[in-house]
Amino acid sequence: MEFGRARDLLGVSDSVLSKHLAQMQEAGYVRLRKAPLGGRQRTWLVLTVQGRTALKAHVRALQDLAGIVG
Amino acid sequence: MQQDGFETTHVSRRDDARAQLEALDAFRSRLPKELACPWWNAPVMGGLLALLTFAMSLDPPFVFLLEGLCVALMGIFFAIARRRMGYFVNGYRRGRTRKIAIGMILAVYAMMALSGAGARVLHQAWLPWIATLGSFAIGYGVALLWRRVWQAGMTARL
Repeated sequence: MEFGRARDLLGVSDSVLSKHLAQMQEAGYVRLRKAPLGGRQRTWLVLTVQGRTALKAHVRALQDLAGIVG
Repeated sequence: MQQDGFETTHVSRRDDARAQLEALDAFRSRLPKELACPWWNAPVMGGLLALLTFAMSLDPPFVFLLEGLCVALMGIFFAIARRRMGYFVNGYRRGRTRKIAIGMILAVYAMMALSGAGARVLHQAWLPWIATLGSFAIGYGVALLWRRVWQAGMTARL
């Protein structure tokens, strides 16, 4: 997904998303790729397998905390 | 404060967790509308595969010209789709869509073989048309299915 699309979906600013993506990239949860689109360089985000696994684990932990049987 | 034997920290952590899960559910419920596909996606996909299939029934150099045109149109289509939607449904990546992609490739390959054989080996002029229609239906159907599977994956409970 393109950076701008993700930003609009999440309703956050460029800087907030960039900051979080940098951390997630360092943790290996997302992969960032630069590719031209419409004559401009755009950043594309890809969730890694590791990222998906981490997200599932986080949701399970939240469900445990919330006392919800997932 | 709720008297249920939990400490304050436990209550607030539980409330925070519930709030986060609710926010996640709310976000997920918006995705199908936000990630809506343009109506022309499936017909274009079907049309491109139909063109590729029909090309197999032609003689050189027309077969190469039409196949070259198909490849160019595919590139343009993907570029427009990415620009318009801001994301790209890559059905060939690991996941449920990959099986669909492989099935589609095999089915379209069979249609292309039928088109070529129909024209050159069996000399039945109607066979390439049947194969072309078949490829259109496969492309159209797979585009819809591919998308549905991808959206289901995006919105599924984690």
